[in-house]
Amino acid sequence: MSKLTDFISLIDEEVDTSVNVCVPSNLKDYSFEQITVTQQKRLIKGTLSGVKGNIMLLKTFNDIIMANCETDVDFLITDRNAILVQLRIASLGTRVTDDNGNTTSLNEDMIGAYLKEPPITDGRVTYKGIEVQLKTPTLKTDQKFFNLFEDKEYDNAGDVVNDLYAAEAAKFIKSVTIGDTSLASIPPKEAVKLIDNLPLALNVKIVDFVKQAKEYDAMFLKATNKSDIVLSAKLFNAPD
Amino acid sequence: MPDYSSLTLPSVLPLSRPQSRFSMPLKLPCGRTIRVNELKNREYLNIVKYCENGDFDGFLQTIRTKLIPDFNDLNVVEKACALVAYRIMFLGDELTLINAEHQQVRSTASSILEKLEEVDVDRVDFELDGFKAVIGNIKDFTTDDFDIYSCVESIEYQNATVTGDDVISAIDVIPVAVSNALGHRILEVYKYYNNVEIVSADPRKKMPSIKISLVDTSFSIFIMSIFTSSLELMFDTVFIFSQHFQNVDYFDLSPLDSKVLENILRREHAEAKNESSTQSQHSNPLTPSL
Repeated sequence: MSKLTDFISLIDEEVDTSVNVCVPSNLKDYSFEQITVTQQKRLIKGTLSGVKGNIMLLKTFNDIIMANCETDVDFLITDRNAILVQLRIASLGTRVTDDNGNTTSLNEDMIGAYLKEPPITDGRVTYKGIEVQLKTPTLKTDQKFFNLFEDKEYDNAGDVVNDLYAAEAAKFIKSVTIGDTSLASIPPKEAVKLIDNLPLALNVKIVDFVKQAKEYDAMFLKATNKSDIVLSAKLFNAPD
Repeated sequence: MPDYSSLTLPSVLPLSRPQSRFSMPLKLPCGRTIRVNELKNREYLNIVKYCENGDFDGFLQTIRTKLIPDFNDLNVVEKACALVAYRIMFLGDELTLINAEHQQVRSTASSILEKLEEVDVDRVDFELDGFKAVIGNIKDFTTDDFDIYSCVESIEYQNATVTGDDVISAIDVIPVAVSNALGHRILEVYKYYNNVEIVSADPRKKMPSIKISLVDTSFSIFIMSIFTSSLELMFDTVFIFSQHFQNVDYFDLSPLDSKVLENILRREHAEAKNESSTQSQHSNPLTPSL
């Protein structure tokens, strides 16, 4: 055996690097491996490249959650921040640096309260005979939508924001029914096109549903001083 | 451009060189000696092009593959010293730098080398939760793939020790609280890498000091500024050589060799011009003397 293999075996035997995390969508505890240095480096790279970098950053966070969970579960995107924050607290504690560079703490009480009240994951919106069934997407679905952006080149940031906005709403669509015609299991590319062609009033209703999920997710990143904590590589780097 | 058409190449100059690569020793501040290959105009032209394009990766590629074969084995301070020493060996010592206030500052590469030699980090021991690590010098100064953990020489837990290239993989399996604390310690140790004074302030001339970071883009800008030359001027020199030194491969000469040849040629040209003006004065006594 090489010295590295010996070292890794010893750590596996002697050091427990797993963390128990409560997942809001089903209120069950799952065992996760802590975020590694290599994963941290991937996150840092994501933060370096603008708007597209931010999309890739979320994709990397999804990858990390899926890779580090010891059980094969397809979590919802509203579980993402809850899982990451609990992983962070278990490995590095609650002390964080907020958006303004001040040292503060993640609000454990609020996190506990929100874990007990998961958001509604299904919904239905209608407008002039068009019915849209909504469902909070899983991380795997989220990844498929992020893949749309991966190889696409953008000339300006505005185009990325437009596409991102459409994709964020599209990933929540479970099915669309117009009269007798029903569309379900819509591939990501088609779902984005569909959003662009739905009546604005219907889109507004879909966005309201999405907003609820986003607001729930954002609450996990509130600090005790009421400031917002940015979901970035920095979250996994404790202040001095 | 002066007219050199009537001149011949001095017979004492080395017209052709053996093809084997000439190399020489270069002593680093740590006491280690490495061999470096002589800089030829062939590579120098590439270096100048890389510098003009701001392509530090391309510049380093030429350094690694053609000029300093052991470059990858050096740490960041040794790399900086090797590059500055190489500059002195093959391009001379005199430098003109531009400071943050856009003022021209005359300096020498050897004075910069002396300052760089002072920047060296003693090994630092780190210990937390039964994990021990030894922090040495940072290996690389590239920014995109900069890895602060590359300076960790060894990591130990109980009776298992990992060294060399395996350290990075070992850090990946240790608890994140330990790797995080180790990262903070490394950044603390290397704080002054970000503020290395390479030219002292000159209060008499109201010149502030020039400081660079060894681990961000200011270092690459600094290194490229001390290696660059005017590409246009180089092309003029290539033209002169093609016209007057048919037996010499300009690209096989070192920049200093070609400079010597060019200076001799210019001197001969000046002497020939003087001689012809003296002769015309003798043939026409009415011509006023310069």
